[in-house]
Parts: sequence; C-alpha cells; structure tokens
Amino acid sequence: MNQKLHILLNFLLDTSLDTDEEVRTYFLEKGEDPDAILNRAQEFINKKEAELKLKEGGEKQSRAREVFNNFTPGMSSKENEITELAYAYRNKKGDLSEEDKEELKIQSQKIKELKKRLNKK
Amino acid sequence: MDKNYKPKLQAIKDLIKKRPNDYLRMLRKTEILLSISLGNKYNETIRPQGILNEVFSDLIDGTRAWDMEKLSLDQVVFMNIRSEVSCLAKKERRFTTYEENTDEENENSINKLDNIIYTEPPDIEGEMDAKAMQDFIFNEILKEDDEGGLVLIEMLEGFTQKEIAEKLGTTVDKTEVHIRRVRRKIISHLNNGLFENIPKSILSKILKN
Repeated sequence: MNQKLHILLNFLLDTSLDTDEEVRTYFLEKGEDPDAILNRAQEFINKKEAELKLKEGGEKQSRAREVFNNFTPGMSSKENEITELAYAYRNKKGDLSEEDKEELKIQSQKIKELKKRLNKK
Repeated sequence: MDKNYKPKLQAIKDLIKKRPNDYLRMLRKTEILLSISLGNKYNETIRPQGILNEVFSDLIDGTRAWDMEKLSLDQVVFMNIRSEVSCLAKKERRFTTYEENTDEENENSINKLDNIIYTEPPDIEGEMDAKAMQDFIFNEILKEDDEGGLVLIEMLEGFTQKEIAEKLGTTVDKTEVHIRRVRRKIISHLNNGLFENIPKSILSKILKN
C-alpha cells in the first residue's frame, strides 16, 4: 500500500506532465496572472543582483582604500611627487604637448591634496 | 558572500527569462508539495513564491550548496524546496520523522536499552488512511472513468507508460492522454483535504528522496 501511495505522490508532483498552456491556465483560474508572477520573480532577482553588486563594490572600495592608505606613509615628499607624476604620465600616450604637461601638474597637485585630506582622517 | 555567485545568478535569470513556463511549473510543484505535506494547514499565509525566492537567494549566496557540474538548477531547486517544506511541515504538524536504518545500524543498535524499551509502532492509522485515500480516488474521483482507473492501477503497480499501453492494448499516446487526465482529476481534489492524513513514513520519504 505504502509503495503505491509513494508512486502516486511522485506522479502528482511530476509537473513536467503539465503542458505550457495547462500550467498557465491553472494560475489564471486561481485568479493569478502568470505574467505578473514572472514579473515579481524578475524583480526579486534584479533586486538581489543589485544588492550583490553594491556589496561587491563596497568590498572593492574598502580594499582600494586600504591599499592606498598603506601606500603613502614612509615615503619622502620628493619620492611621492615623482610617483604621482609617473602614475599620471602612464595614462597619457605619445609626446606630451604643453597643455598635457600643464594637465599633469594639475592632476599631481590634486592627488597630493587628496592624500593630505585622507591622512587627516 | 559567495565570490562565484555570477553563474548561479545567471542560471536563475535565464530560467525566469528564457524558460518562464518551467519557472511556473516549479512554482506549481511547490504548491502541490505544500498541499500534500501540510493538508488543511496549508493556507494563504504560506506563499510558495516566497519559498522559491528564499531558495534562489540562498543558492546565489552560497548558504545552500549547489555543485553546478553535478546538479541542474531544476534538480537543486526541487531538493531545497523539499527541505523547506519539510521544515514547515514539522513546524505545522509537530510530527517526528521516521528514520530508516541500514541493516548494519539495526544490528549495532539491537542491544541498546532504548530500543528494547521503545520500538517504533507500526503506522496502522497511516495504513488505513492510505487505503481510504486510494478507495476515494478509485470510487469517487475516477468513478465514471474506467480507462483512467485501469491506467492508474497499472501505474501504481510500477509499470511504465509503454508497458501500460501494451497491457491495455492501446497506443502510448492514448495512454499518456489518460495519465494526464487522471493526474488533473486527482490534483483538483488536493485542496479538499484528500491528502490530509498521509502516513508519516511516506511523507518523510517524499520530502527526503
């Protein structure tokens, strides 16, 4: 008897026996729009993805801050300045125009200022 | 946070977007499992889609294991739905699950005092309920459906669709039509308390296997 009941319950759970139309009709008859159900599922997954990306971004940011903070102390101001300029220079290709040179100086000053402020905190 | 969450997330996104009817089948399966397991305790406060969301969320986060090389999404979701429903059923029905021991375990535990004092009583009431369920299905639900009844008898004996077709002297396609019809008819009685008193051992197997 129990074996038969077991087979029966598994048979009832076999939703692959429902055609696409049957499964959609079931929800419609219950007063639930299948497309609304799918939209809710989509919204849930989108929200989950956004949460994960935010978390991932936060982790990356804190790792970058850690690296950046560990990078500055112990270096002389002269070395610091050279590194900053070299860093900015790497972002530029080819011969530098006067305009680019000026831009590099501005960027270097900005980085120096940013470091000062971060170290104050 | 599981660093390898992306392929899992993508598989679930693909299910919803590219195989929407399979998602609906998954949801329907959750409902059927809830109806079978909780009987009349299954009410509107229990949301099948909430259960599915929870399972998806845990799979993505890695709090529920998923070896993507071994198990498909459909398989791992069903396994986890069963475990969720099992927890709900335990909470709602307050029953203790019946654990089946291996022969070795039985032999090892034979001298344990607990086993001498207490042995699991046979589930006589459960057997009677199972008999009553089967009688109701054949005598009421399939009362006017002789062919459906015959097909179900053979199915419950464990015969395949092809074997049933051969035994009844009909085609596989016609047998499949009967099978689908019988299933629809029985399922339509799920919410009328048809499976309210399933033997604990059977329910436990359904929720574990």
